[in-house]
Amino acid sequence: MEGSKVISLVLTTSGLLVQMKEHSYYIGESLKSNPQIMELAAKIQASDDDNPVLQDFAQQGGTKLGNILSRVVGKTSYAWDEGKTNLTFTVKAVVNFMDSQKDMLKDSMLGYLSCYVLSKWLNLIKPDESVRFEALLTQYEEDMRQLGAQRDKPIRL
Amino acid sequence: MIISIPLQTILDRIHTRNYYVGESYKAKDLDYSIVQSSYDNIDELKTSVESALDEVVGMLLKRAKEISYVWGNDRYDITIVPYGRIPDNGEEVLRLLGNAITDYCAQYSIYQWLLVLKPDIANPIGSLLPNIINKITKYIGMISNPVIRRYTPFGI
Repeated sequence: MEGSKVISLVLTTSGLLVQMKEHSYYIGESLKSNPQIMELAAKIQASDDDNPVLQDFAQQGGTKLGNILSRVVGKTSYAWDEGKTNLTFTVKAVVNFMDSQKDMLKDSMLGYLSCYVLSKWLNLIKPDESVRFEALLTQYEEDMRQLGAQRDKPIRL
Repeated sequence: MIISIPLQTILDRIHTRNYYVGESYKAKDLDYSIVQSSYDNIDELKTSVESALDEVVGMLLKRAKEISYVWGNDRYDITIVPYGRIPDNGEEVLRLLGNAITDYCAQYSIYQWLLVLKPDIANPIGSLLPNIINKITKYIGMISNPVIRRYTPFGI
């Protein structure tokens, strides 16, 4: 799979955590209707105070995501910047990889990582809620596989 | 007589055919995207192209007085010295022969490529090779027939 087209895909930590926190907010709100677990439901709603642990999960997720991209697109390396605000994936894709899929691939990557952090977060607080998000990870992986398999039609030079 | 075949022409055919093979199988299994070759695979494909040319030259050795090929810059130059007189339509036949050899090189390389990556779909492509060989031998026969002498016992 490894090729000569180098693609750089940058995910921002803020974008990732905002998406994850938004989901955790709605999950918490929906559980608050049950008075017995109201306190637990509030804990599910991640806030900025929880950023250190969420960033740890994001780091683990980054490694997993890098491995998936290596498998479905091309050899991938990734690096965090100094303040851990950006996560940059550098992918060596085949030269006929379809460039138009790049943004969709980035969206799927963000979805995967946010889902990964959310599932790990829920696993800490209310493990039974995390199962469906773990299942969603497989769907995101399949999406990335689909996008990574798209090829440009050869042009006769 | 020289037939000049640019490597680019052969590679274009290979990539285009591999693209369609990949697209048709990807609907049921995305892993078939691996057969869609590109210029990243030029080293592997060039080796197959040269094996195909070796086969062609080997096949035509007895049908021409001399036949050989050389790699020059970006193309293969096949030199053929035919037996006997070259017919009037020699140029046209030579063009057809060149096309058939190009096609054989492309098809043979695709076959080898698929044998390595997805052997389950290689055979339909491989089964087309004998037809192209027939074309090549037909065209070479039009420009170069070995001289056949009548059998005469005791030279009488």
